[in-house]
Amino acid sequence: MLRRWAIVVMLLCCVAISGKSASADTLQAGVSYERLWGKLMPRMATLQFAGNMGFASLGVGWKYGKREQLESTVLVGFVPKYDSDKAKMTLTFKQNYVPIHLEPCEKVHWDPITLGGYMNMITGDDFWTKLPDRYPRTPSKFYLFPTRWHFNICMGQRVEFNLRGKEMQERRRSIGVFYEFSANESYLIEAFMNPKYMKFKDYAALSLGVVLRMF
Amino acid sequence: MSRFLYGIAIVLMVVISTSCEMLDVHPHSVHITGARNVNAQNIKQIEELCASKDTIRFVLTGDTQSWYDETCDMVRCVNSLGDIDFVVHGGDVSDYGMTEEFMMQRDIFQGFNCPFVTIIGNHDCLGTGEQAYEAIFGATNFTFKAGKVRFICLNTNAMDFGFPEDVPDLNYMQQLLDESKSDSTWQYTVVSMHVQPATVVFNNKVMDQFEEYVRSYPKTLFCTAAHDHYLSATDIFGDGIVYHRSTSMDDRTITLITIMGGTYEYEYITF
Repeated sequence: MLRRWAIVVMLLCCVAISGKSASADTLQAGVSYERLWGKLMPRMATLQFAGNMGFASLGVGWKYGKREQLESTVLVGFVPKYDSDKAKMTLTFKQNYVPIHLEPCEKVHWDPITLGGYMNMITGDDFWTKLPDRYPRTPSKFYLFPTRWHFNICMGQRVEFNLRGKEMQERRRSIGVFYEFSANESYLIEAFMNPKYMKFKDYAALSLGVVLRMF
Repeated sequence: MSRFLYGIAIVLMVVISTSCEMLDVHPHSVHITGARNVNAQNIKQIEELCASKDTIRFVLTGDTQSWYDETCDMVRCVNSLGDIDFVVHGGDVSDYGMTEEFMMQRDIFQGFNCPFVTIIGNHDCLGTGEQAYEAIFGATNFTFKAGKVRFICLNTNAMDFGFPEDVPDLNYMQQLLDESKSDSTWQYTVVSMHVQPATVVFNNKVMDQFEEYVRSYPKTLFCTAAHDHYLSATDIFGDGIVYHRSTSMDDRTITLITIMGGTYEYEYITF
Protein backbone atom coordinates (compact mmCIF):
# COMPACT_ATOMS: atom_id res chain seq x y z
CA MET A 1 0.00 0.00 0.00
CA LEU A 2 2.84 2.40 0.97
CA ARG A 3 4.55 1.74 -2.36
CA ARG A 4 1.36 2.63 -4.26
CA TRP A 5 1.04 5.92 -2.40
CA ALA A 6 4.73 6.66 -3.06
CA ILE A 7 4.13 6.24 -6.82
CA VAL A 8 1.10 8.55 -6.71
CA VAL A 9 3.10 11.21 -4.79
CA MET A 10 5.99 10.93 -7.26
CA LEU A 11 3.64 11.43 -10.21
CA LEU A 12 2.09 14.48 -8.56
CA CYS A 13 5.60 15.87 -7.89
CA CYS A 14 6.51 15.42 -11.56
CA VAL A 15 3.42 17.36 -12.61
CA ALA A 16 4.15 20.06 -9.98
CA ILE A 17 7.81 20.41 -11.05
CA SER A 18 6.86 20.69 -14.71
CA GLY A 19 4.37 23.40 -13.74
CA LYS A 20 6.90 25.22 -11.53
CA SER A 21 9.54 25.35 -14.26
CA ALA A 22 7.04 27.09 -16.50
CA SER A 23 5.67 29.51 -13.92
CA ALA A 24 8.29 32.21 -14.59
CA ASP A 25 6.59 33.27 -17.72
CA THR A 26 2.78 33.06 -17.96
CA LEU A 27 2.82 32.56 -21.70
CA GLN A 28 5.55 29.93 -21.38
CA ALA A 29 3.52 28.18 -18.66
CA GLY A 30 0.47 28.09 -20.89
CA VAL A 31 2.47 26.57 -23.72
CA SER A 32 4.09 23.99 -21.38
CA TYR A 33 0.82 22.91 -19.85
CA GLU A 34 -0.70 22.64 -23.28
CA ARG A 35 2.25 20.63 -24.52
CA LEU A 36 2.24 18.40 -21.44
CA TRP A 37 -1.50 17.85 -21.63
CA GLY A 38 -1.19 17.29 -25.35
CA LYS A 39 1.27 14.47 -24.65
CA LEU A 40 -0.62 12.92 -21.75
CA MET A 41 -4.11 13.23 -23.15
CA PRO A 42 -5.57 9.89 -24.29
CA ARG A 43 -5.88 9.55 -28.04
CA MET A 44 -8.62 6.98 -28.21
CA ALA A 45 -11.54 5.47 -26.34
CA THR A 46 -12.16 1.73 -26.53
CA LEU A 47 -15.15 -0.46 -25.77
CA GLN A 48 -14.28 -4.14 -25.76
CA PHE A 49 -16.56 -7.13 -25.29
CA ALA A 50 -15.35 -10.44 -23.78
CA GLY A 51 -11.72 -11.52 -24.25
CA ASN A 52 -11.35 -12.76 -20.65
CA MET A 53 -11.29 -9.19 -19.31
CA GLY A 54 -15.01 -8.83 -18.52
CA PHE A 55 -18.35 -8.89 -20.32
CA ALA A 56 -17.68 -5.31 -21.40
CA SER A 57 -14.62 -3.14 -20.77
CA LEU A 58 -14.35 0.58 -21.33
CA GLY A 59 -11.00 2.29 -21.57
CA VAL A 60 -8.75 5.00 -22.91
CA GLY A 61 -5.56 4.60 -24.87
CA TRP A 62 -2.49 6.33 -26.20
CA LYS A 63 -0.70 5.93 -29.54
CA TYR A 64 2.99 6.60 -29.96
CA GLY A 65 6.08 5.61 -31.88
CA LYS A 66 7.42 6.97 -35.18
CA ARG A 67 4.50 5.57 -37.16
CA GLU A 68 2.16 5.41 -34.18
CA GLN A 69 2.68 1.67 -34.23
CA LEU A 70 2.50 1.31 -30.45
CA GLU A 71 -0.64 1.59 -28.38
CA SER A 72 -1.22 1.43 -24.62
CA THR A 73 -4.73 1.08 -23.25
CA VAL A 74 -6.19 0.98 -19.75
CA LEU A 75 -9.64 -0.59 -19.45
CA VAL A 76 -12.13 -1.07 -16.65
CA GLY A 77 -14.36 -4.10 -17.12
CA PHE A 78 -17.48 -5.60 -15.65
CA VAL A 79 -18.07 -9.31 -14.95
CA PRO A 80 -21.76 -10.10 -14.27
CA LYS A 81 -22.70 -12.28 -11.33
CA TYR A 82 -23.75 -15.32 -13.38
CA ASP A 83 -23.59 -18.32 -10.97
CA SER A 84 -21.09 -16.74 -8.60
CA ASP A 85 -21.73 -14.89 -5.34
CA LYS A 86 -21.42 -11.40 -6.80
CA ALA A 87 -20.55 -9.29 -9.85
CA LYS A 88 -16.93 -8.20 -10.21
CA MET A 89 -14.87 -5.41 -11.76
CA THR A 90 -11.63 -5.86 -13.68
CA LEU A 91 -8.71 -3.62 -14.58
CA THR A 92 -6.71 -4.31 -17.73
CA PHE A 93 -3.39 -2.88 -18.92
CA LYS A 94 -3.02 -3.59 -22.61
CA GLN A 95 -0.09 -3.06 -24.94
CA ASN A 96 -0.53 -3.39 -28.72
CA TYR A 97 1.92 -3.38 -31.60
CA VAL A 98 0.49 -2.51 -35.00
CA PRO A 99 3.21 -3.24 -37.57
CA ILE A 100 1.24 -2.42 -40.73
CA HIS A 101 -1.16 0.44 -41.47
CA LEU A 102 -2.94 0.32 -44.81
CA GLU A 103 -5.35 2.69 -46.53
CA PRO A 104 -7.17 0.39 -48.95
CA CYS A 105 -9.44 3.21 -50.01
CA GLU A 106 -10.21 6.81 -49.17
CA LYS A 107 -11.19 7.52 -45.57
CA VAL A 108 -10.59 3.90 -44.52
CA HIS A 109 -7.66 2.65 -42.44
CA TRP A 110 -6.93 -1.04 -42.12
CA ASP A 111 -4.60 -2.71 -39.62
CA PRO A 112 -4.36 -6.25 -41.04
CA ILE A 113 -2.61 -7.51 -37.92
CA THR A 114 -2.48 -6.26 -34.36
CA LEU A 115 -0.26 -8.05 -31.87
CA GLY A 116 -0.21 -7.52 -28.15
CA GLY A 117 -0.59 -8.61 -24.60
CA TYR A 118 -2.52 -7.57 -21.56
CA MET A 119 -2.49 -7.98 -17.81
CA ASN A 120 -5.90 -8.34 -16.25
CA MET A 121 -6.75 -8.11 -12.55
CA ILE A 122 -10.09 -8.89 -10.95
CA THR A 123 -11.57 -7.45 -7.77
CA GLY A 124 -13.00 -9.45 -4.88
CA ASP A 125 -12.06 -11.34 -1.75
CA ASP A 126 -11.93 -14.65 -3.61
CA PHE A 127 -8.65 -13.69 -5.27
CA TRP A 128 -5.09 -13.00 -4.19
CA THR A 129 -1.93 -11.54 -5.68
CA LYS A 130 0.50 -12.70 -3.02
CA LEU A 131 0.14 -16.25 -1.72
CA PRO A 132 -1.83 -15.91 1.56
CA ASP A 133 0.00 -16.75 4.80
CA ARG A 134 -2.09 -19.87 5.39
CA TYR A 135 -0.20 -21.67 2.62
CA PRO A 136 3.26 -23.19 3.20
CA ARG A 137 6.28 -21.81 1.28
CA THR A 138 8.47 -24.87 1.57
CA PRO A 139 9.53 -27.10 -0.09
CA SER A 140 7.96 -25.03 -2.90
CA LYS A 141 5.20 -22.46 -3.25
CA PHE A 142 1.86 -24.23 -2.79
CA TYR A 143 0.22 -22.48 -5.76
CA LEU A 144 2.41 -21.04 -8.49
CA PHE A 145 0.17 -18.39 -10.10
CA PRO A 146 -1.77 -15.54 -8.45
CA THR A 147 -5.52 -15.97 -8.86
CA ARG A 148 -6.16 -12.22 -9.15
CA TRP A 149 -3.95 -11.64 -12.21
CA HIS A 150 -3.95 -13.21 -15.63
CA PHE A 151 -1.52 -12.51 -18.44
CA ASN A 152 -2.80 -12.74 -21.99
CA ILE A 153 -1.36 -12.59 -25.48
CA CYS A 154 -3.59 -11.41 -28.31
CA MET A 155 -3.74 -11.06 -32.09
CA GLY A 156 -6.41 -9.47 -34.27
CA GLN A 157 -7.44 -7.08 -37.01
CA ARG A 158 -8.97 -3.62 -37.11
CA VAL A 159 -10.62 -1.33 -39.61
CA GLU A 160 -11.29 2.38 -39.03
CA PHE A 161 -13.41 4.89 -40.91
CA ASN A 162 -12.76 8.61 -40.97
CA LEU A 163 -15.56 10.64 -39.46
CA ARG A 164 -17.43 13.04 -41.72
CA GLY A 165 -16.90 16.76 -41.58
CA LYS A 166 -13.94 18.89 -42.65
CA GLU A 167 -12.54 19.40 -39.17
CA MET A 168 -12.91 15.73 -38.29
CA GLN A 169 -11.01 14.70 -41.42
CA GLU A 170 -8.27 17.27 -40.94
CA ARG A 171 -7.66 15.97 -37.44
CA ARG A 172 -7.96 12.33 -38.53
CA ARG A 173 -10.87 11.54 -36.24
CA SER A 174 -12.24 8.06 -36.85
CA ILE A 175 -14.36 5.24 -35.57
CA GLY A 176 -13.30 1.63 -35.96
CA VAL A 177 -14.17 -1.96 -35.15
CA PHE A 178 -11.80 -4.77 -34.26
CA TYR A 179 -11.69 -8.41 -33.24
CA GLU A 180 -9.02 -10.20 -31.31
CA PHE A 181 -8.13 -13.75 -30.28
CA SER A 182 -6.38 -14.05 -26.94
CA ALA A 183 -5.17 -16.73 -24.53
CA ASN A 184 -4.00 -16.48 -20.94
CA GLU A 185 -0.98 -18.15 -19.34
CA SER A 186 -2.94 -20.98 -17.66
CA TYR A 187 -4.85 -22.00 -20.80
CA LEU A 188 -1.63 -21.88 -22.84
CA ILE A 189 0.06 -24.26 -20.38
CA GLU A 190 -2.93 -26.60 -20.57
CA ALA A 191 -2.94 -26.39 -24.39
CA PHE A 192 0.75 -27.33 -24.42
CA MET A 193 0.09 -30.27 -22.06
CA ASN A 194 -2.92 -31.57 -24.01
CA PRO A 195 -2.24 -31.43 -27.74
CA LYS A 196 -4.96 -34.00 -28.47
CA TYR A 197 -7.86 -32.66 -26.40
CA MET A 198 -7.34 -28.89 -26.37
CA LYS A 199 -8.48 -27.26 -29.57
CA PHE A 200 -8.05 -23.58 -30.42
CA LYS A 201 -11.59 -22.84 -29.21
CA ASP A 202 -10.79 -24.42 -25.80
CA TYR A 203 -7.82 -22.23 -24.90
CA ALA A 204 -8.40 -19.07 -26.96
CA ALA A 205 -10.99 -16.36 -26.39
CA LEU A 206 -12.57 -14.01 -28.91
CA SER A 207 -13.25 -10.37 -28.20
CA LEU A 208 -14.96 -7.71 -30.29
CA GLY A 209 -14.51 -3.99 -29.87
CA VAL A 210 -15.12 -0.47 -31.01
CA VAL A 211 -12.39 2.17 -31.01
CA LEU A 212 -13.07 5.89 -31.27
CA ARG A 213 -10.36 8.45 -32.03
CA MET A 214 -11.90 11.71 -30.93
CA PHE A 215 -9.16 13.47 -29.00
CA MET B 1 -14.15 1.03 -51.40
CA SER B 2 -17.37 -0.96 -51.36
CA ARG B 3 -15.52 -4.16 -52.27
CA PHE B 4 -13.17 -3.70 -49.36
CA LEU B 5 -16.05 -3.02 -46.97
CA TYR B 6 -17.94 -6.09 -48.19
CA GLY B 7 -14.76 -8.11 -47.62
CA ILE B 8 -14.39 -6.78 -44.08
CA ALA B 9 -18.07 -7.43 -43.33
CA ILE B 10 -17.74 -11.03 -44.57
CA VAL B 11 -14.58 -11.62 -42.48
CA LEU B 12 -16.31 -10.23 -39.38
CA MET B 13 -19.43 -12.33 -39.93
CA VAL B 14 -17.35 -15.50 -40.42
CA VAL B 15 -15.31 -14.77 -37.26
CA ILE B 16 -18.38 -14.08 -35.12
CA SER B 17 -20.54 -16.92 -36.43
CA THR B 18 -17.81 -19.59 -36.10
CA SER B 19 -16.37 -18.36 -32.81
CA CYS B 20 -19.22 -16.89 -30.77
CA GLU B 21 -18.80 -19.68 -28.20
CA MET B 22 -15.29 -18.27 -27.68
CA LEU B 23 -16.61 -14.96 -26.35
CA ASP B 24 -15.20 -15.77 -22.90
CA VAL B 25 -16.03 -13.17 -20.27
CA HIS B 26 -13.43 -14.05 -17.65
CA PRO B 27 -11.63 -17.22 -16.44
CA HIS B 28 -13.39 -16.84 -13.06
CA SER B 29 -16.79 -15.68 -14.38
CA VAL B 30 -18.69 -18.83 -13.20
CA HIS B 31 -20.71 -18.51 -16.42
CA ILE B 32 -21.91 -22.09 -16.63
CA THR B 33 -23.23 -23.68 -19.81
CA GLY B 34 -24.31 -27.31 -20.14
CA ALA B 35 -25.19 -29.79 -17.40
CA ARG B 36 -25.58 -28.61 -13.80
CA ASN B 37 -26.07 -30.35 -10.47
CA VAL B 38 -24.40 -33.40 -11.98
CA ASN B 39 -23.74 -35.27 -8.72
CA ALA B 40 -27.43 -35.34 -7.74
CA GLN B 41 -28.45 -36.73 -11.14
CA ASN B 42 -25.77 -39.43 -11.00
CA ILE B 43 -26.55 -40.32 -7.37
CA LYS B 44 -30.13 -41.02 -8.38
CA GLN B 45 -28.85 -43.45 -11.02
CA ILE B 46 -26.37 -45.11 -8.63
CA GLU B 47 -29.02 -45.66 -5.96
CA GLU B 48 -31.44 -47.16 -8.50
CA LEU B 49 -28.83 -49.38 -10.19
CA CYS B 50 -27.30 -50.68 -6.96
CA ALA B 51 -30.48 -50.95 -4.85
CA SER B 52 -30.57 -54.75 -4.84
CA LYS B 53 -26.86 -55.47 -5.28
CA ASP B 54 -24.69 -57.20 -2.68
CA THR B 55 -21.49 -56.73 -4.67
CA ILE B 56 -20.46 -53.20 -5.66
CA ARG B 57 -17.64 -52.50 -8.15
CA PHE B 58 -16.46 -48.94 -8.44
CA VAL B 59 -13.46 -47.08 -9.79
CA LEU B 60 -11.54 -44.60 -7.64
CA THR B 61 -9.73 -41.83 -9.46
CA GLY B 62 -8.89 -38.16 -8.94
CA ASP B 63 -6.49 -35.28 -9.62
CA THR B 64 -7.38 -35.04 -13.29
CA GLN B 65 -6.55 -31.33 -13.30
CA SER B 66 -4.84 -30.08 -16.48
CA TRP B 67 -4.48 -33.66 -17.79
CA TYR B 68 -7.33 -33.74 -20.30
CA ASP B 69 -5.64 -36.14 -22.76
CA GLU B 70 -4.95 -38.65 -19.97
CA THR B 71 -8.47 -38.19 -18.54
CA CYS B 72 -9.98 -39.08 -21.94
CA ASP B 73 -7.83 -42.25 -21.95
CA MET B 74 -8.96 -43.02 -18.39
CA VAL B 75 -12.64 -42.78 -19.40
CA ARG B 76 -11.97 -45.19 -22.28
CA CYS B 77 -10.19 -47.56 -19.86
CA VAL B 78 -13.09 -47.52 -17.36
CA ASN B 79 -15.61 -48.12 -20.13
CA SER B 80 -13.56 -51.08 -21.40
CA LEU B 81 -13.67 -52.75 -17.95
CA GLY B 82 -17.44 -53.27 -18.18
CA ASP B 83 -19.71 -54.02 -15.22
CA ILE B 84 -18.57 -50.97 -13.25
CA ASP B 85 -21.33 -49.58 -11.03
CA PHE B 86 -19.95 -46.05 -10.70
CA VAL B 87 -16.83 -43.88 -10.53
CA VAL B 88 -15.71 -41.80 -7.54
CA HIS B 89 -13.55 -38.83 -8.53
CA GLY B 90 -11.56 -37.76 -5.47
CA GLY B 91 -11.28 -34.08 -6.40
CA ASP B 92 -9.01 -31.57 -8.16
CA VAL B 93 -11.03 -31.37 -11.31
CA SER B 94 -9.44 -28.01 -12.05
CA ASP B 95 -5.90 -26.74 -11.63
CA TYR B 96 -6.52 -22.99 -11.36
CA GLY B 97 -10.21 -22.84 -10.34
CA MET B 98 -11.14 -21.51 -13.79
CA THR B 99 -14.75 -22.06 -14.83
CA GLU B 100 -13.90 -23.49 -18.23
CA GLU B 101 -11.71 -26.19 -16.62
CA PHE B 102 -14.69 -27.53 -14.65
CA MET B 103 -16.88 -27.60 -17.75
CA MET B 104 -14.26 -29.35 -19.90
CA GLN B 105 -13.67 -32.03 -17.26
CA ARG B 106 -17.43 -32.49 -16.73
CA ASP B 107 -17.86 -33.00 -20.47
CA ILE B 108 -15.13 -35.66 -20.48
CA PHE B 109 -16.65 -37.47 -17.44
CA GLN B 110 -19.98 -37.59 -19.23
CA GLY B 111 -18.31 -40.09 -21.55
CA PHE B 112 -18.38 -42.70 -18.75
CA ASN B 113 -20.80 -45.55 -19.43
CA CYS B 114 -21.66 -45.53 -15.73
CA PRO B 115 -22.64 -42.75 -13.31
CA PHE B 116 -19.94 -40.80 -11.46
CA VAL B 117 -19.64 -38.48 -8.47
CA THR B 118 -17.04 -35.76 -8.02
CA ILE B 119 -15.64 -34.59 -4.67
CA ILE B 120 -14.21 -31.09 -4.25
CA GLY B 121 -10.40 -30.80 -4.16
CA ASN B 122 -8.13 -28.03 -2.91
CA HIS B 123 -7.36 -26.73 -6.43
CA ASP B 124 -11.12 -26.58 -7.04
CA CYS B 125 -11.33 -23.97 -4.27
CA LEU B 126 -9.06 -21.41 -6.00
CA GLY B 127 -10.66 -18.11 -7.00
CA THR B 128 -14.34 -18.74 -7.71
CA GLY B 129 -13.68 -22.47 -8.12
CA GLU B 130 -15.90 -23.53 -5.22
CA GLN B 131 -18.82 -21.57 -6.73
CA ALA B 132 -18.24 -23.19 -10.14
CA TYR B 133 -18.03 -26.62 -8.46
CA GLU B 134 -21.32 -26.04 -6.61
CA ALA B 135 -23.10 -24.88 -9.78
CA ILE B 136 -21.86 -27.81 -11.88
CA PHE B 137 -21.55 -30.71 -9.43
CA GLY B 138 -23.58 -29.65 -6.36
CA ALA B 139 -23.01 -29.49 -2.60
CA THR B 140 -19.47 -29.91 -1.28
CA ASN B 141 -20.63 -32.43 1.37
CA PHE B 142 -22.94 -35.16 0.13
CA THR B 143 -23.85 -38.78 0.64
CA PHE B 144 -25.36 -41.60 -1.37
CA LYS B 145 -26.21 -45.23 -0.93
CA ALA B 146 -24.99 -48.07 -3.16
CA GLY B 147 -26.92 -51.13 -2.01
CA LYS B 148 -26.16 -51.54 1.67
CA VAL B 149 -23.12 -49.27 1.57
CA ARG B 150 -23.42 -45.61 2.50
CA PHE B 151 -20.79 -43.39 0.84
CA ILE B 152 -20.07 -40.15 2.72
CA CYS B 153 -18.22 -37.56 0.60
CA LEU B 154 -16.71 -34.62 2.46
CA ASN B 155 -14.96 -31.35 1.78
CA THR B 156 -11.72 -31.60 3.80
CA ASN B 157 -9.74 -28.81 2.09
CA ALA B 158 -9.47 -26.76 5.28
CA MET B 159 -6.31 -24.83 4.37
CA ASP B 160 -7.92 -23.18 1.33
CA PHE B 161 -10.65 -21.73 3.54
CA GLY B 162 -8.26 -20.64 6.32
CA PHE B 163 -9.00 -23.65 8.57
CA PRO B 164 -12.60 -22.73 9.49
CA GLU B 165 -14.63 -24.78 11.96
CA ASP B 166 -16.90 -26.29 9.31
CA VAL B 167 -14.21 -27.89 7.13
CA PRO B 168 -14.52 -30.80 7.65
CA ASP B 169 -18.12 -30.25 8.72
CA LEU B 170 -18.39 -32.22 11.98
CA ASN B 171 -22.04 -31.16 12.38
CA TYR B 172 -22.83 -32.82 9.07
CA MET B 173 -20.96 -35.93 10.21
CA GLN B 174 -22.96 -35.93 13.46
CA GLN B 175 -26.22 -35.53 11.54
CA LEU B 176 -25.35 -38.59 9.44
CA LEU B 177 -24.41 -40.53 12.56
CA ASP B 178 -27.85 -39.77 14.01
CA GLU B 179 -29.47 -40.94 10.76
CA SER B 180 -27.49 -44.18 10.81
CA LYS B 181 -29.20 -45.22 14.05
CA SER B 182 -32.63 -45.25 12.44
CA ASP B 183 -31.63 -46.63 9.01
CA SER B 184 -31.51 -50.43 9.08
CA THR B 185 -30.55 -50.64 5.37
CA TRP B 186 -27.29 -48.76 6.06
CA GLN B 187 -24.97 -51.65 6.91
CA TYR B 188 -21.53 -50.54 5.69
CA THR B 189 -19.80 -47.20 5.28
CA VAL B 190 -17.14 -45.73 3.02
CA VAL B 191 -15.90 -42.19 3.75
CA SER B 192 -14.44 -40.29 0.76
CA MET B 193 -12.53 -37.01 0.70
CA HIS B 194 -9.82 -35.20 -1.23
CA VAL B 195 -7.20 -34.66 1.49
CA GLN B 196 -6.84 -37.26 4.19
CA PRO B 197 -6.04 -36.50 7.86
CA ALA B 198 -2.42 -35.83 8.91
CA THR B 199 -1.68 -33.88 5.72
CA VAL B 200 -0.91 -30.15 5.53
CA VAL B 201 -4.25 -29.19 3.94
CA PHE B 202 -6.39 -31.06 6.51
CA ASN B 203 -7.47 -29.34 9.74
CA ASN B 204 -5.42 -31.62 11.98
CA LYS B 205 -6.77 -29.97 15.15
CA VAL B 206 -9.95 -31.96 14.62
CA MET B 207 -8.49 -35.09 13.03
CA ASP B 208 -9.11 -37.25 16.12
CA GLN B 209 -12.76 -36.13 16.29
CA PHE B 210 -13.02 -36.72 12.55
CA GLU B 211 -11.71 -40.27 12.88
CA GLU B 212 -14.01 -40.90 15.84
CA TYR B 213 -16.98 -40.18 13.56
CA VAL B 214 -15.47 -42.35 10.80
CA ARG B 215 -15.16 -45.23 13.30
CA SER B 216 -18.68 -44.67 14.67
CA TYR B 217 -20.56 -45.19 11.41
CA PRO B 218 -22.00 -48.64 10.71
CA LYS B 219 -19.01 -50.90 9.91
CA THR B 220 -16.74 -48.47 8.11
CA LEU B 221 -14.90 -50.56 5.51
CA PHE B 222 -12.29 -48.01 4.38
CA CYS B 223 -11.78 -44.38 3.40
CA THR B 224 -10.77 -42.94 0.03
CA ALA B 225 -8.68 -39.85 -0.70
CA ALA B 226 -6.60 -38.26 -3.49
CA HIS B 227 -4.40 -35.11 -3.50
CA ASP B 228 -0.82 -36.37 -3.11
CA HIS B 229 -0.47 -37.71 -6.65
CA TYR B 230 0.68 -41.18 -5.63
CA LEU B 231 -1.06 -44.46 -4.77
CA SER B 232 -1.14 -45.56 -1.16
CA ALA B 233 -3.16 -47.63 1.29
CA THR B 234 -2.42 -46.51 4.85
CA ASP B 235 -3.97 -47.23 8.24
CA ILE B 236 -3.30 -43.67 9.48
CA PHE B 237 -4.76 -44.01 12.99
CA GLY B 238 -3.92 -47.69 13.58
CA ASP B 239 -7.61 -48.47 14.00
CA GLY B 240 -7.90 -50.86 11.08
CA ILE B 241 -9.50 -48.29 8.74
CA VAL B 242 -7.33 -47.97 5.65
CA TYR B 243 -7.18 -44.73 3.62
CA HIS B 244 -6.88 -45.59 -0.08
CA ARG B 245 -5.35 -42.75 -2.06
CA SER B 246 -5.78 -42.47 -5.83
CA THR B 247 -3.00 -41.01 -7.95
CA SER B 248 -3.00 -38.21 -10.52
CA MET B 249 -3.77 -38.72 -14.20
CA ASP B 250 -0.16 -38.42 -15.35
CA ASP B 251 0.46 -41.76 -13.57
CA ARG B 252 -2.23 -43.30 -15.80
CA THR B 253 -3.46 -45.62 -13.03
CA ILE B 254 -6.88 -46.09 -11.45
CA THR B 255 -8.01 -48.14 -8.46
CA LEU B 256 -10.76 -50.72 -8.92
CA ILE B 257 -12.51 -51.56 -5.65
CA THR B 258 -14.97 -54.41 -5.19
CA ILE B 259 -17.14 -54.52 -2.06
CA MET B 260 -18.68 -57.89 -1.23
CA GLY B 261 -20.78 -57.79 1.91
CA GLY B 262 -18.51 -56.76 4.76
CA THR B 263 -15.23 -57.27 2.89
CA TYR B 264 -13.56 -55.60 -0.05
CA GLU B 265 -10.62 -56.01 -2.37
CA TYR B 266 -8.79 -53.57 -4.60
CA GLU B 267 -6.47 -53.61 -7.57
CA TYR B 268 -4.56 -50.99 -9.52
CA ILE B 269 -5.19 -50.82 -13.25
CA THR B 270 -2.80 -49.02 -15.57
CA PHE B 271 -3.98 -47.65 -18.89
